Parts: sequence; C-alpha cells; structure tokens
Amino acid sequence: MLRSLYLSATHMLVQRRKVDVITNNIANMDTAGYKADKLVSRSFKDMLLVQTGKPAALSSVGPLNTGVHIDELITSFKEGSLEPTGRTLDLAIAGDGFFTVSTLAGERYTRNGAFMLNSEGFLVTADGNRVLGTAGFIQLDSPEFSIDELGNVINAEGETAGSLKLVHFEDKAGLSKLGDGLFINRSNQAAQAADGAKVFQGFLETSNTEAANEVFELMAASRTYETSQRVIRMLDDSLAKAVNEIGRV
Amino acid sequence: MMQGMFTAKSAVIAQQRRLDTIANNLANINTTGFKASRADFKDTLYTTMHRPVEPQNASLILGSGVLVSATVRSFLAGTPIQTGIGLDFCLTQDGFFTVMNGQSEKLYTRDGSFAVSNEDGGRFLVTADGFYVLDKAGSRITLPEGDISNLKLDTAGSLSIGSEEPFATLGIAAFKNNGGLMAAGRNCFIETEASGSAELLEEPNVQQGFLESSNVDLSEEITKLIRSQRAFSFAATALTTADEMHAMANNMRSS
Repeated sequence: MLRSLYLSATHMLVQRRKVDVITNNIANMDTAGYKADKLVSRSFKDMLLVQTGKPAALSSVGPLNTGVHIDELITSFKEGSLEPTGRTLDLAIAGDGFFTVSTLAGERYTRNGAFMLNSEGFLVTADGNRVLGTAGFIQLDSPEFSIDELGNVINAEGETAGSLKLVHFEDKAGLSKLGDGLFINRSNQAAQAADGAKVFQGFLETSNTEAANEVFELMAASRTYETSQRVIRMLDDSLAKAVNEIGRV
Repeated sequence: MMQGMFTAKSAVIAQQRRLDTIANNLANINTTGFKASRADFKDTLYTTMHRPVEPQNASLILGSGVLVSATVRSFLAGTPIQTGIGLDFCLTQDGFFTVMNGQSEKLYTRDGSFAVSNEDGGRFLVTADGFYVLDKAGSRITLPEGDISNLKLDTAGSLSIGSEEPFATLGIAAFKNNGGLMAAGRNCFIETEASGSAELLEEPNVQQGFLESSNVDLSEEITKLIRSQRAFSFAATALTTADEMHAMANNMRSS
C-alpha cells in the first residue's frame, strides 16, 4: 500500500516535468529556428518479489514495478516553415544544416538566421556573436548584400565577401541546446560541410513547435497528473480506514 | 517550484512585448517616413534535469522560456505619395534628411514634410516639430527673400527660388548600417556606434512635392497580430494548466 503511494508520486513528478518541457515549446512557438523538445520517460527497473520461508527455487512471486522516471529528451530537428521577411539580413536554411557562430566559449550552431551588422560591419547574431564563414568572419560594409543558395556572400560592390560556414551532423542526438538559439556539439563526431543545405535570403525559419499538438500533450499530461493525484488520495483514504476504522469496536 | 509556470509567464510577457510593437506599427500606419519594427525572440537558459538512475544524461535539459532578443527595424522604402506642396520632400533612395533639434543635436529623418519658421534671424527651413533642416555644411538653411511658393529643388538636393542661383543644398546623410540607428521619437533617428557615422550623399535623389508614406504593411501586421494573440492565449493556457496542477498538489490530502 505504501509502495503504491510512492509509485503514484513518481508518476506525478514525471508529468510535471513533461508539462515544463511542453510549456517551453509553447513559449517558443514564435522563436525563429527553435526546435521542439519531447521528454521521454521510462520505468524504473523491475524488482523481483520473493516469498520468505520457501526454498529459493520456489520463492519467486513475480516482478514488481517501482514507478517511472524521466529518461531522455529528444529534440525534433524537423524543419520549420520559411517565412518571408524581405530583410536582407534575415537568412534561412532549407535542408539539413546549421549556421556556425563564434562565441567566447567556442563554435556554436544555430538555425536562427535573424542576423545584424555590428559597429565594425561584422555579421552577428542578435546577441552579438559573430557568424563564421569558411575563411573567418563575414565583414560587410552595408546591409545591401546578396547571398546565393550555397551561402556565398556578395557585398554591395559586387565582390565576394566570404562564404557562410554551413555544417551538418550525421547524428543530431549529440547536439544540445544552450539557449539564445544556439546548439553545442557534445559528441565526438566532427561537423561536416552541409552540402544539401540551401540558404534563402529575406526569409526566417519559423519554430517547428506544433501548437495544436503541444496543447493536446499539455492537456494529456495535466489530466494524467490529476489521475495520479486521485490515486494518491484514494490510497490515503484507504490507509486512513485501515488505521482508524478496522478493529474499531 | 514549478518551472512551467515561470516559462509560461516569460511567454506571456514576450508576446505582450510583440503585441506592443505591432500596435506601435499599426498606430503609425499613416506617419510620414515611419519605419516598421518587429520583435525577435530567443529561447533562454537551459538547466540540466536530474535523471534518478545512472548514467546521468547531459542532454536531459529543461528550457526556461523565451525572451525578446531584439526589435529589428525594416528600412524598406515607403511609397512616395504626391502632395503637390512645394515644401514636401521625399527621398527615393537610401538616406536621411539631417536636422537639428533645440539642444543642437543632429538627428536624421525620412520625413520631408517641412515648413518655414519666421524668426529674428530670418526665415529658416524646419521640420513639422520645428527642428532646423541642415544643409551640406551642417548649418541651418536660411531662406532668401522671395516667394516661397516658387521654391525649387533639383534632384541633387539644391534649393533655389524662381530662376535664381541655388542658395543651399539639403544635407542628405546615409549610414553603413541603418539597423544600428536609434529611434529618437518625432520621426527622427540618432546615429550610434553600430550605425556608423553619417556620410553625406553626393547624389541623393530628392523629389519635391512628394512625401514618403509609412512602410507598415497592414496585412502583414494584422497577420502577426492574430498569430501573437494566439500565442499569447496558448501561453495563458499553459499558465492556467500549471496553476491547476499546483492546486492538485496542494489538495492531495483528502481531509
């Protein structure tokens, strides 16, 4: 009886975490280049119940589940739709690939191409991190530049001002979010040149959060939470009866 | 305690900021030379969640919501609208009229609806707010004697009255990076480090008798408004859900 109390509690904790993750997806439903997360839970290892006082070969009753815990977070790298903005500094990637951004801590990757020019004319993210080209940073004199599908940057004077460093990863499970739209590569695999990626100027990639789906998940998680809460209340009532009423004369 | 509540709150606030930006664009749909802004978002800090069994997983992270990362202004040109008024000017290319406010600060504007100010020192060309319009040398433009209705402007920005010699040339400045300009209100911008310093244009292409309309696109803004409103209510739903779950946890004891 007491064990089932704990079991229901682990379930509630998992549902709470799920709601936290879903809420973050909903919060970022309009964040350019955002990739939605999904929390996966799994059960704790089963325990074997044994009867005491019997020989070892006959003592086994069967497995007992001890509840559920959060297991892993899966980020969906499904592409968001491309939204036209008409701004020359807005870039979007169609296909598999990331922009490479240089931060103080090293190279980071992003799908959010809402870039700006800083005071020195470098192409930077909204947080001021420089965008990397294949040969150093991209420096432009004015926002009047063009960029082809392969990421070659041509400045206002018609000269080549570098080429964007577009990378892709075979196994995206090694990519982890850092906030500010950035991803870090935590696996050993090296970033490869993204050959299949196409750059579109004057577009932004919208978030891949599917609002209807997230709201459904939210409802499901909160109702499941409620179910477990009811179970706990029921167990509590039963325990109260066991303690206070059984054996009352 | 419950991260979801704070996450949803951040979303409600961010969408509110975007609605404010959209409302400001819509309010200025008829403001001469107005440039529309948009709010960009970014996801915020991620924290690692504890996995109750080994091994720990560094990718098991939980986001904490959304922030407005920047408001980006579009410097696309508005449509020139014919007014037929001799003191209305429109820049058909990139560039800004240089004006000076009461504190002798240089400001830059796309709004070319000018007026004449009669002062002790003579007649000056001013903006609708009374800021002095500056010439190429950076000094105020004094209008000579003569009928203002005969004021003429050539495309290079030289002003003359009737058939007389030009008396001044409008100071039209351009910036390397318009996105870095800071809005100062009253249709004016201030130069910043990010915009680069103002450089005078030799061939500015100014049209007399026209005004540049606002570059706000009504259908786009309304679409954004609807989207933002929906996102706002989704976030509010998430907030309510988190609140209900809190209530459930609080009502766990039956008696």
